[in-house]
Amino acid sequence: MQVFKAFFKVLRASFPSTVVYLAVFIGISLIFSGNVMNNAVDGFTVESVDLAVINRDGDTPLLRGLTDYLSEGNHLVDLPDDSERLQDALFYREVSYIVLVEGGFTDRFLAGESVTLDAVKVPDSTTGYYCDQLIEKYLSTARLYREANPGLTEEQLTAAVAEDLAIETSVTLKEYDVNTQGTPNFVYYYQYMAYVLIAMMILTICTILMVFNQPDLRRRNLCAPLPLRSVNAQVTLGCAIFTVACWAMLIGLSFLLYGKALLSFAGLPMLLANTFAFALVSLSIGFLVSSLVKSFTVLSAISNVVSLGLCFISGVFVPQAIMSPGVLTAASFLPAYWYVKANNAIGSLAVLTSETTGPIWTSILIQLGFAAAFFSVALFITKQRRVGNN
Amino acid sequence: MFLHVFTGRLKCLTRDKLMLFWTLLFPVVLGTFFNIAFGNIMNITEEFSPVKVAVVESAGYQQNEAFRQTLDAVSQPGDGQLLIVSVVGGEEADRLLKSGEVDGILEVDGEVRLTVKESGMNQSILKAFLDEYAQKSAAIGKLLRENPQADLSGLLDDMGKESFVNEATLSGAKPDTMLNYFFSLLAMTALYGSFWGLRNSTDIQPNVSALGSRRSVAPTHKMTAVLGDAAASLVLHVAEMLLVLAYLIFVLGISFGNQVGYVLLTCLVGSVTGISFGTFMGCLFQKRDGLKTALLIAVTLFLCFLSGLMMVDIRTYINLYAPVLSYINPAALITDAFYCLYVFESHTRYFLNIGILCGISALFCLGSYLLIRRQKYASI
Repeated sequence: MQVFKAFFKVLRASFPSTVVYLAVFIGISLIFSGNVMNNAVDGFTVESVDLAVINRDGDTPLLRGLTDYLSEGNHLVDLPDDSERLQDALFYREVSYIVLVEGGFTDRFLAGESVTLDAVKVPDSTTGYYCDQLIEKYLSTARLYREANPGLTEEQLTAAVAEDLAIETSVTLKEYDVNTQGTPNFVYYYQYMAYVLIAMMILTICTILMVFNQPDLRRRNLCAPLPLRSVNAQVTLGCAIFTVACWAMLIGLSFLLYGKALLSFAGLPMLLANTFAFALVSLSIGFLVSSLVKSFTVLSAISNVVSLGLCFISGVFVPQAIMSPGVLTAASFLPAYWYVKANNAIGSLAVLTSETTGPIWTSILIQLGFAAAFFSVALFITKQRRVGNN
Repeated sequence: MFLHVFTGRLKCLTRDKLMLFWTLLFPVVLGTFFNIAFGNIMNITEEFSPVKVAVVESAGYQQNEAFRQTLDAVSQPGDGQLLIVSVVGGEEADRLLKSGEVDGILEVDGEVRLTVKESGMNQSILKAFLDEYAQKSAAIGKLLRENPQADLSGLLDDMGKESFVNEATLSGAKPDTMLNYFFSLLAMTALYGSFWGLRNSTDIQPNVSALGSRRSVAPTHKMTAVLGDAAASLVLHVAEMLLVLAYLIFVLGISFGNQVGYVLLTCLVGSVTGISFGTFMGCLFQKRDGLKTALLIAVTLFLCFLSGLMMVDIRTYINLYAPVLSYINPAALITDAFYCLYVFESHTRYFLNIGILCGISALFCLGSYLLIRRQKYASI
């Protein structure tokens, strides 16, 4: 098993770069999965918009009523009346909607004049539309009471409006076979795992295989009285063990981070199968790249472009749900797309039936198909090269 | 002599294919990936499009004429269209909701009920619309009860016609958060100039590289050699930045505002900062090239991470919890300079950024100068 031992000696030498990827990954997945809001809700809730009210008119009952109404279900952010600060807040979505109330608004409104509030919003946005709707509703109801009953004081008017606007439509939340409890945290961990697996595997596998493929070293090895079949078998065994070890390490880490939730998760076997299939895909890509690339400096470029590219296009970093259909169609010719798709489906599982798990197994099989295809191409290339060299 | 060093150096650097990849091709590739992944985000997550809703066909719906008229009014195709209504049977409505073709189902029998399958913005709009209908009906009922003789028809006609919200902007720029990724990408490109700076300082120090030893026995004044190297790397790197900028603007269609001159100035200052940073690192850590490069990449990427290259929210957190970081982090300063040009009309904050960047570059240059001046080598 000399070749096998040599395999791991080379691996040890390239270990530091692997550790860098691992550290980056752990950092990223902790930040992102910690950042995910886990809104497990039982019933329907209206969407909360972050908005700010800049009141230049003073604390009048009408405006207090409007602000109170807007703060129901939405999140009011306290911002100073400073143009640059407001633009900052809107650009970085601290708020999506800013209401500017000019001085004299209340008096003119109560006098029956036609007045408007200024609203600064993300142009053509849904949140903007929704907030417009709320403000229009409040003020038009107030106007209705004002016109119909001019004798009302401002307080009475506000009370009447508030009473009216408390009427709500009943909403039923209908559950189909999908999980409405929000996506579990660890699903995001598993999503980013695609990146670290592929980046780590390409870099490490290629580094090792390229060492073995150096022309002089290879010629020397071919002279050795060890059958080529045995050499190849030992290298293959090394690759296999490394792949399983990487996979097991990442899975182990997920158990450390999300232990209980993960163990009680019904989709766990599928989660494991999916990641394992992708580990094989990563191995096959590493194998393919090593058969194409000859220099170590080019390798770092290629491995970065391939791993980042696959992950960006296939929806590892940005959810598939918000990518354009054209990109997704193109991405479906890449294995990482099927990995993420299966992962998303596992995350939204509510019940395990053959109807819901069928597509997931299909996605996993497609990944295995990709792996087989990459291996075949790589084997073909190496075979061609060997024949060519001789 | 300066020109000789300059042209020689320029040739030398342009032949470094690996560095060209990292400083030119990598930002271009990353920009393309950003565009593919984020290109559609605003349209899908934020842009308003009429809400699709199914109404269950029933006797109750046919009898409630007021509601039907209201639905008709808000589903007229055009600018103000709120809903896209399809009137279908109960089972069909259920199928549409399950497959996600509609966001909600309306059932009318006396009162209106809404069925949805998830909580979301479109569902909230739908609910707000139905609430409004119920609330208006209640308000009119109440007013009529209080004052049966009142003539409300005029009021009701007016209602809904008067608009109380006027869309205003603080500046002409569209607040597209995703732009920050591209601003940050350019900041990364600028700071990757540090690779050139690192190479310069490696190739000029006799105790670090063989090339440095050879060059230092030449009778060229050291300052001429240093400045020639610096000028060559600056020219090359600014050219690279302009290519990346041109790619972002003309191929990917990213908007950097209209102030071309200032955008170019930012590229130049950013490039100077990047190169001087790399030079300083090269002078500070004299041995072990591998470690220096790794350290440089790690520091650069960390600074870019803090400027929002990987996730834009980080900038909000930094402004909230550690605002001083955004004044000393070159990547954040470059990103913010592009942002200011895009969003603000006044240049106060922009020039503050550029000023600090110049200060940081000056510090790096001074540091490098102090570290390698008057070095004498007894043996190497």
